[in-house]
Order: sequence, then C-alpha cells, then structure tokens
Amino acid sequence: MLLPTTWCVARVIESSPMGRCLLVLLAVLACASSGCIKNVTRHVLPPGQAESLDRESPFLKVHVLDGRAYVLSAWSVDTTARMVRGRGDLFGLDREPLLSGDFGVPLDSVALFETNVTRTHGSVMALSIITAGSLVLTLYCAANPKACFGSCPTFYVSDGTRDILQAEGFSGSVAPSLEATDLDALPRARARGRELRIVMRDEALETQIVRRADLLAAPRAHGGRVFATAAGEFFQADRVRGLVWATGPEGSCREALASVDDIERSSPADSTDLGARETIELRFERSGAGRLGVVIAARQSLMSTYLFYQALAWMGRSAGEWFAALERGDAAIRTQARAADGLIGGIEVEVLDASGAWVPAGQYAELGPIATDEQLIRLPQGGADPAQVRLHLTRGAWRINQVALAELGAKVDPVRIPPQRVLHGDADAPVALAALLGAGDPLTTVPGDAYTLVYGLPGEAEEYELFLESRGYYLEWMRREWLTEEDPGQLARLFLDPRGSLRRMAPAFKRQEATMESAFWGSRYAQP
Amino acid sequence: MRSPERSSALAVLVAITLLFPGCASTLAPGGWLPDAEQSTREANGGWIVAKVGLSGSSREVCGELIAIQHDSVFVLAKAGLEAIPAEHIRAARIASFNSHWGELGAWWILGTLSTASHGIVLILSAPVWILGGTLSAVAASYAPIVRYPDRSWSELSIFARFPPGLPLGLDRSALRWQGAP
Repeated sequence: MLLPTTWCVARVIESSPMGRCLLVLLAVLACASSGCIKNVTRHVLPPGQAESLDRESPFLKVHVLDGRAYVLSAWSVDTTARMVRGRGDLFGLDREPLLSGDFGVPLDSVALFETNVTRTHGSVMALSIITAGSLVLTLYCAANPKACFGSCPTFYVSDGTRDILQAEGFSGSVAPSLEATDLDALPRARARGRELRIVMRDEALETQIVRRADLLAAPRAHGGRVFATAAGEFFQADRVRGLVWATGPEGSCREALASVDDIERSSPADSTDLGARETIELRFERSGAGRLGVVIAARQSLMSTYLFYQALAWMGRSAGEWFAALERGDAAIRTQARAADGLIGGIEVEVLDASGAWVPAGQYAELGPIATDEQLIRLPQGGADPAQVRLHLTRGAWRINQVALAELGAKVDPVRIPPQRVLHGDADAPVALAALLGAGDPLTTVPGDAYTLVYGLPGEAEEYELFLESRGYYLEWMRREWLTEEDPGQLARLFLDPRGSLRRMAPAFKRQEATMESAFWGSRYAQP
Repeated sequence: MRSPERSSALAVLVAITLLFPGCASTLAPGGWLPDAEQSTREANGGWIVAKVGLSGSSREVCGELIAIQHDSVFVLAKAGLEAIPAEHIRAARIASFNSHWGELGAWWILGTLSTASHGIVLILSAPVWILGGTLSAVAASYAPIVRYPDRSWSELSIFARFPPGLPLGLDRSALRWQGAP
C-alpha cells in the first residue's frame, strides 16, 4: 500500500511545477523546524570550582543543599562575596516554581552547579548540506533540462585496472526506422586471458533496443595497430606518426592533439551562428611513398544533442506524430530528418597533393558526445612531403583528442565474436543472450539496466585490435519541461531553413554552453 | 517495467522499513520530555527505563530519575518513589530530552521524494538522501540517550532531579508523579 502511495506522491511532485514549489516549501519548513533538533552538553561542578563554570551556558542550575534548585539566566559568580547572582526561578522539591526574580545564592548553600550548552545536532548539518546540493540539482534540472541527460547505450570495458567508458552505440538511431550499425574502436580494452567483458548500460531516459553487440577482433602485427574507416574497412598500420605542427584559430593546438589523453581540443561555438566553421591545419613527418591515413580520435560536444533535444521540445505533444510519420516512411519527413542530422556535419579532412592543391579525403562522422572514438580517413596517394592536412569543422561541435598519421599496411578482415554469455547482475541472462544472438526479439533496456557481455577471444589478446559493433535504436523519453517549449513554427523553420535556425538558436545555446559539459558529466557517474 | 520514479519510491519504502527499527525511542510518555532548549531551563530528572532482576526473573521500571546514591537508584514511577539497588539493575537507559528526530525523518523523506525531479541523476541522489537521512535520523535519535552499563552510575547521576543525591530529611511521600498519563 505504501509503495504505490509513495510512488504517486513522487509522480505528483515530479510532474507539476506546483508540486515542485510545494516540495521546496516543505523542504524549507522541514529545515526550519529542524532548528530545534539540538544536542545538549551537560556539566556539573561543586561550588568550590564556581570560577570554572561554562560561561556559554545561558542558564545556570544551582542545586542547593536542601534539594531545591535555582535556574538563573544572566548569571555571574561573585567570588569576593562568595555568591552566585542571576535572574530566574526557584523550584521546590517537587519542581514546582516557588519564586521568580533576582537571586543571590551563597556558595555555602550550594550542593552542585549544573551548566547546559545546546548546539545544533551534527545530523542537521549533514542533511542541510545534502539538501543544498539536492536543491541546486533540482533547480538546475528545472532551468536547464537539456543538460541533464545521457545518450544511447554506453559500453564500459576494463583498461586493465578498472572499467572505463570506451564506447557508445548507435547515437543517431533515434527511431526504429533509423536503426543502424555502429562501429567503435576499443584501443584501451584489456582482456583477462582470452576473455573480454563489456558492461552495457542504459544510463539515459531512453528505451534502448539492442539487436546486436558483437566484438570484432582484427589481427595485427606485433607492435602495430589496426584502424577502421567509417565504411567498416580495417587496415593494419605499421607505424603511427605524431604531429609536427598544428594550428587552429586559437593558435597552436599541437599539445592537445598529440596523444589520446585527458586533454581535448575544443572551441567555443560562434555566438551568432551555430553553423559557423573553422579550420585546423596540421603537418606530419612521413617516410616513403606508402599509403597513408589520418587517424582522428574525437567525440562530439553537446551541441548536436542540444539541437536534437531542442527539436523534440519544439515538437512537444506532437513528437509522437512526427516519429510515427517517420516510421510510416513519409519521404518528406525522412528528408527533413536527414537534413537536420547534417546540420552540424562531421570533421572534413583535406590533404595537400604534390601539385599544391587541397584534395578532399573524407570525413570523421562518428556521432555521440560521451565516448571518444578512433576513425581512419585514408588519404589519396601522392601527397606532399611533409604531409599537410586540413580539418574543417563546425565551431564548438567537436572535442578532438588526437590526430595522427598512420602508415597503412594490408587490409584485414576481423573475426566476428558474438557474446558467449550475458549476465544481468551476477546471474546468466539466457533470454538477453538469445536476443543479442538474433534468436529472438532484440534486447530492450530501460534506464538503470546493465548487462555484462562476455566474449572469448580467438587467440592471445595482444594479437588483435578490438572493436565493438553494435546495432539497434533507442526511443528518447519526452521530458515534461520540454512540453512548455512546444512551437510548431520554430520546428517548421528548423526544417525549412536549417541554416537560419542555427543562427537563431545561437544565443540560447551560448547562454548554456559554458556550463553544459560540466553539468552533463557532473550529473553522471561515468567519465569519458 | 521499471522506472527511476518507481525505483525511488521503492528505495524510500526500503529505507523507511530500515530506518525506524534503527532509531532509538526514549520510551517516555508522549510530551513528558522537554525539548533540548527547554531542558536547560527545567530541573526535573531524565526518564529512566531500567531492567531490574537477579538471575532468571526480571522486570522493567520506568519513571523519572530522582537520584543515584549509596548504591541505590531512586525512580519516581507512577506507583511512587522506588529505591532500586544498583546491583540489581542489569541495564538502563536514560533520556534527558526529546530530540525530535522524527522531524529529521520527515525532512529526509521529502528530500528523497524530491529526487524525482532529478531525472536519471536520482540513481545517484536518491541513495545519498537515503543513506544520509538514515544516518542522521539514527544519530539524532540516540543523542539524548545515555546507558548503563555503558556509563557508570556516578556519571549518570547528573541526569537525576537531584544530582547531588537525595536531600537530607526529604519526605519521600511528598514526591508526586508528574504529568504522565
């Protein structure tokens, strides 16, 4: 009985602004009333130690020899007159008040002094701190709901010491008709012997449908690497060369782009146009005339997620109709969805050829703001020496961790490894395993779900470069805060005039940009 | 089908179930004990609950702690003043004020419910509330309580109506039961 009642109360509070106001009011009242939750420190002293009485005690209890007791405020000890003075009450043996007023009690008649000091209980302080943090979170989520979210399935793999977030699956697949296959490199994954475990979590307000999550093990030479292209081709790399020189609008960014570490290169979005572009120029050493490729390790900023959520907010109550139209195969809607998807675009790569002309080589287009992914863009043969590369990208849309030049070897075919076991908690989950093996309906997860996928490697782990290939889609849950922003006009303008919409949305995004990333990660327990 | 809100509600339910047995009751009649501030202005003793008995048999004596002296504990129970040999008391607990820890419980429940507004983050914030609230309420509930044999009778005497001991020439029959229903 209590469970549904509590659940209903939580729903009411969560669902209405009035409920939240009431909650805040009640919290304040609770805090105020808890002012009387105090602790008392009591000390007694014989009359001979009257000078040592605790002066912090607002009242002095004077137990006299005949059993009566004075309770005095504004009390003082007159050592010369051997008297304690104060204003208060005299209580009889039955503790009924006998007299009130100013008293002077000779020390010779005193059996014991008692002092009591009250202090706010430490538990009130502890709950006050929790309340403050909780209210900040409540207010932040109410004011800035587009920064309190997760994104698509997240995959945690051990780096040899602890499980770290290494991949996010099919970030762009926000509807059944947009179901897609996503390939993520797992360069930091470390197997235990020939077994690799990947924890797949649903950490967002989404229903996620996972059809497949296979491990791909690409054979590599000793000390070499294997990189994957966006098209799903795998190439061995005998050698990976670092940057000699890198510069963007902010100046040198070589240090940020030199290696995969905690330092990412990013830039603020344009304050008047979210579609504004920028260029980064790179130079690498090269040796020989072999085939080369640029390896980019990056993730999206929260700009694309913000735009998607803003579009959902503008859809408001009609979001279901929009997605239903998408599922029915409405060509116009699909075209609009694809156009919206390309608003931000990828990281376009150009290379300087031997004749001095810039030649397009491809683009990095891995979606998702959570996990850094590595992708290979093969360069045309016959480039300049030293190799010179340009990246064109939307300002504020990308966080680039590393750019390197790979000297490519043979194309290889990876070994596909489906999960051998799936664990839900510590127990085997045969239904989930069957779902991921294609033997039943796909695996459906809701927020809070976590499955451990167990894979067996075909050989020693060092002999393989590992990748995760996941397939599925997810359904974003509408937030009540978004419904207040329902605006068919803005939505129509987004589809009909995407470039103009990026300009109109810039001020609102810029107001949140500085805190969006920290709020996003601060509201989660995962780290990139 | 699970949802964060349902998980939150379940967590509240579990925490309520766990919290209340974990908190200490003073066992004093309702309204008998003053609150912390008021206790500094009054001169009554604390409320004692003593388990009395040697070997197999035992009984419980409850009332106001009047004095502790000469190896006797004087308790003003509803039936009158009772002098109990200290060595016959196996365990006792004395509450000197009402900590109002139940208000912390209300605060804690409201706070836990408020995590429903945190979206997915309640996976983090709800356990913080439940753990913090439980520990706080338990700590507050024990604040006014002192126990024998954790403390000696001489230490516990300061919580009596007459900390120095019974006054000389006290007419014990003059002490009246105060206020409890």
